[in-house]
Amino acid sequence: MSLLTLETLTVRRGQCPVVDGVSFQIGKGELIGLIGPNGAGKTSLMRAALGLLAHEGRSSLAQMRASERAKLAAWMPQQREIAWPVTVETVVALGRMPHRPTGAKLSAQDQAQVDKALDRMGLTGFRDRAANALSGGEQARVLIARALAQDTPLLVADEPIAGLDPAAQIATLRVFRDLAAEGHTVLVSLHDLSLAARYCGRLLMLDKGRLVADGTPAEVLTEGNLATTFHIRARVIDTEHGALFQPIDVLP
Amino acid sequence: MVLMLAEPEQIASLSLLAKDARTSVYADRAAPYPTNTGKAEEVALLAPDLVLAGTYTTRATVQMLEKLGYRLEIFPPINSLAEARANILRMGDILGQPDRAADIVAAMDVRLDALTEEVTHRPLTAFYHARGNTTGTEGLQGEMMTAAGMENIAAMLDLPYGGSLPLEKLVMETPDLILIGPPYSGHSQATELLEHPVLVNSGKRHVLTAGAAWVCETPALLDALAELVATRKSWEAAQ
Amino acid sequence: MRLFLPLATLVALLFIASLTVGSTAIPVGEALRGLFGGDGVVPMVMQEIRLPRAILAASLGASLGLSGAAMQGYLRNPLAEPGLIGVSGSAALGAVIALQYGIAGLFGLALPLMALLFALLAVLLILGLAGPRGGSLTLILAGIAISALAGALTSLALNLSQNPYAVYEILFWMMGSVADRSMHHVALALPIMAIGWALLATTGRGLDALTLGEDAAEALGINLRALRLRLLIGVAAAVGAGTAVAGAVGFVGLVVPHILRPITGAKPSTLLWASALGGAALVMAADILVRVILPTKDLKLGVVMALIGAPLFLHLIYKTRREMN
Repeated sequence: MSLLTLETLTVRRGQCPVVDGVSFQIGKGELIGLIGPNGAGKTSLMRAALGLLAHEGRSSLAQMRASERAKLAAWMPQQREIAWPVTVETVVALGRMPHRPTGAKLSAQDQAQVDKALDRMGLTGFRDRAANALSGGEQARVLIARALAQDTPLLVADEPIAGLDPAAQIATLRVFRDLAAEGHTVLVSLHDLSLAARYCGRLLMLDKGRLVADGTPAEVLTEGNLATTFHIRARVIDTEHGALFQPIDVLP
Repeated sequence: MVLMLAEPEQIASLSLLAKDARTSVYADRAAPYPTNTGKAEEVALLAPDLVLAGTYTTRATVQMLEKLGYRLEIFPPINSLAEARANILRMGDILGQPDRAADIVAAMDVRLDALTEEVTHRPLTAFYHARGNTTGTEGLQGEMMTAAGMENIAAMLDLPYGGSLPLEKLVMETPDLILIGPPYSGHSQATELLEHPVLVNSGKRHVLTAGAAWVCETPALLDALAELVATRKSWEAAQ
Repeated sequence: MRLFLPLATLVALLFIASLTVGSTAIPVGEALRGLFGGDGVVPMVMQEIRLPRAILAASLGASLGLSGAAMQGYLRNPLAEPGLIGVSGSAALGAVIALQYGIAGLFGLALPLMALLFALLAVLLILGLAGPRGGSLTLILAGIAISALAGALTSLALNLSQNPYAVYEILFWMMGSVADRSMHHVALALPIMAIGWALLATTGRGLDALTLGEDAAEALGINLRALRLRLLIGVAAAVGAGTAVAGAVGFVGLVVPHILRPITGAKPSTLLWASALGGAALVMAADILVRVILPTKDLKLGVVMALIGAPLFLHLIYKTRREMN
């Protein structure tokens, strides 16, 4: 069953297309990495796919009503914003909003999901802290937990591990992999190609708005693709601990 | 006052206020004359022999006209009927019409005599104005209220020169009569207070019609007094 | 919810206090009996003067508190306040135009509707100029510009007025007061304010979601366009109707959410109703102070509010600056 289908999705800024005729399908139980250099259109692609940005072409999610879509897909924007000094638990509980009617209190099931999300991101001890007083990396984890609490078949996260320490980066991708194993699908944009190669089952490579490669890490992270898309000379080395991405030099 | 005393050819120009029926009892008689807005430049261009001004005229304008060498006569606002008489006589002298002025004053005295009478029971009266001010016992209005046989509420509240009187306090003092000036055109929050249901429904509110008569030292002041007397009498009749 | 009972009790106590404090001393028991009928002066004073005053103070405060909390939640900026950013001033301008040019006399609701219309324009301008992504600086600058323009046009309208009380009128609209209003004013303003409250009450869920930013809120199923519309009309109705009968009273929408935010746990939806109650309490308290401090001087409510609010505003700016560094 497809969770998200894009057909020639195009986003224009003025005349210039920032996402250019992208088509792909996402099924259940995948952890998919979206990679590409700065300005390749990763954020625009994800936002348009979620119906948050005007676009041409078709996205199966964008066609739904906002309230329906919120039950199918959770979104963690790159802009990490927690406007008020609310508690960590309050932020995470916002993820339950699509599942409960206006004004209703958190049900036991809601609370269980919140607790699970806090636990997964190692935030149980932070539960009652003011979320906007935490460090940047901690706030990122709170926002990931918030998206987890939404408990949707699809989770879309824009650079969720940027600014996290190495341990938190690995822990976060492990959580995503576990989610995939449970049957959820996670679409995540990221710049760390080693982690992408090691944890993602499928990679989408974007360059100047076009989808230039779609497949397993081995199929996508070829020397040719890395050279044309990222303008670097690099190799992906298979080690006993998994794939290792080694940049060697910048191409002229 | 000028309109009453002067020959028509003596008048070069009148203040714009003279034609406003709300501030001038002789608005219709003022109609044929040119008007000015009281700016020094405008007055100077008319080159009059005499400029009459009130103390309300802008100070800078008065000083400017004096510097330019015009003969200025300044009339302070009146605070009593006696001052009104004196002003009329003075104006008569200035305009070269002393006999006319003396006749007017004599007629006023006769009418004043007829209007004042011994009153045994004076109604407790408030003369209430926009933004919650009440008339004091001192001054022309206070004197007129007393002359009309009314007991001014300001005397009870120790407000000789009038002042702020909250609506609530006014109502609690249970006056017999509440006088209100005539409604001014154009709506405002300040005058809206006078339309408060507490006043309107009290049955004590009496809207005076002779608004302009209060402003100037003319025999029309006695029209205002006559209205006060009539108001008191109708109150007496209702007792 | 722990906060609801104390706040509601405070509002109830201040309401009773507002009814029993006045320029003349009426024994409390007699005063409260007078509320419920009877003949004579005391019932008249209670029912026609003190009751409308207390109702207007409470509902004006609730409107301002609620609007402040809603605008702050939407703009995610603790400096958004109907008075500060020119909404109250614009509503006053609309009311002045309605009064001075006879529009108010055309039909019963013309006055509050004109105030509402101008408040709506101001909110639109603010949202357009500062926008939800705009920083505090843009918001304050836009607010200063709109306030100044509304103030200038109000002065112009009164400057050209035939009414001798126009100068006093400027003071009224700038300072605000609920003294000596009648039930007529309550009937004029309260229904429109209530519509505003009802609309703003529905924004809680959306404002909570907006804590995470617009994108995240939309992905949580919030229809931002509908939210903005409800907020816009709600603020305009509540503040516009309040201003139409009481003049511009500032700082309530700033001070109340600021004080209550730490106590309510900062959640925007909780802050909404808490600020409504808090605003009602604050304005009633200020209106009682007005009568107690200088009972003979016709002290204006807006002056007292500004004296309370301005120092807190300075504190808030100081805090914001410290957080930026």
